Amino acid sequence: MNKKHLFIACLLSSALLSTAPAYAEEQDYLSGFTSKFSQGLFNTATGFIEIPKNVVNISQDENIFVGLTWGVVRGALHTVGRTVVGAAELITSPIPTDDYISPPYVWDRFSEDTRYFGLHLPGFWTTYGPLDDGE
Amino acid sequence: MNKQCIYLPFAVLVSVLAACTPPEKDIPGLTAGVDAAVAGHYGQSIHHEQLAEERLEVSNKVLEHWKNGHYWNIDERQTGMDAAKEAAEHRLASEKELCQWIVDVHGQSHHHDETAHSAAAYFKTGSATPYKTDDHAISVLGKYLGTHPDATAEVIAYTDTVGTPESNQQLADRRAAMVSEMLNEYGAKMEQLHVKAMGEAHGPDNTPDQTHRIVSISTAHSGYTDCSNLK
Repeated sequence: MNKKHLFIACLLSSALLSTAPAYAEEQDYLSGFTSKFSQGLFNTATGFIEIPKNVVNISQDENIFVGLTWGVVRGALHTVGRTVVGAAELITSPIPTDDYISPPYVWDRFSEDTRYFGLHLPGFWTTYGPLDDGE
Repeated sequence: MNKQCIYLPFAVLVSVLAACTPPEKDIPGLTAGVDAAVAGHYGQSIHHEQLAEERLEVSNKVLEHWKNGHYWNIDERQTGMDAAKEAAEHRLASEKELCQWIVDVHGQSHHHDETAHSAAAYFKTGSATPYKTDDHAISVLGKYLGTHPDATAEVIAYTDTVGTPESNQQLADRRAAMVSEMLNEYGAKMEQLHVKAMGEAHGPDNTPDQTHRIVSISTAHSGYTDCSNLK
């Protein structure tokens, strides 16, 4: 094997070895991007489900009257919140960040009240709703 | 009206009614079967173990929620704490029942009130240094006392009748001390040893007798019970 062949072999091996971490990083980025994009898309489109979510959970926690009044008001506020945050997620989806909203989708952990950047609205319910027992 | 027009619908009606009859249930029989499964100490142990696992699952679920920051708004503290406490109670109950079962099936294997007794060292006349020792017996007893701090043993030293009673008393003291020291080297504590220097054994005066120039060791296991710390 002459020197040229040896040099090419070394070059190819090092290129192959260096692609592994780069590939992993690329995968992480892609997965983060798709997750954030998907959250943004669905939160923008399904933010209004916050209204039935609040009505159902607050009705279970208190009673149907509180659910239909305070639950609707709270649900409307959360609808605006989730929709706006969803739009922000869509716009910033190429930039990797932590989740802006928790639970990430409105149907996830249905008994869990929604928080934005770790902050929540007052007047939340404290018991499990009829559609979710924490599993 | 044709008779077939009556019989046929009647037969269909009877078949339909028969098909609608719910299958027979044997609630007492099944209850007896379930009761039999959890009967006795072993059954109860398993039953409590199962309940402990269920309660533990609840408390672990709460713990997981807290760690992940999920269901932050749900008031689960009391539920989680109660479940953990109940899990511990059921686990203890399970352990007690299992111990009861062990006592039932294994208790008769214990040598109750049996005393282990052996001559541990043999001496020549006037000597406090043994010329022969039962190292196995000494090591077994020493290690037993070391691992069972509540157990005790007796070390009894004798002499023959050669010499004065006073000198033989002192000789018995030294012989007992010698064997006690050996037991101590194997793990026994001095406070576990009841040392008795008996002095001269009975017999004709000034008579050498090897059977009297010994130190014997003994221990009783009567205090031993299965799972004693659970009762």
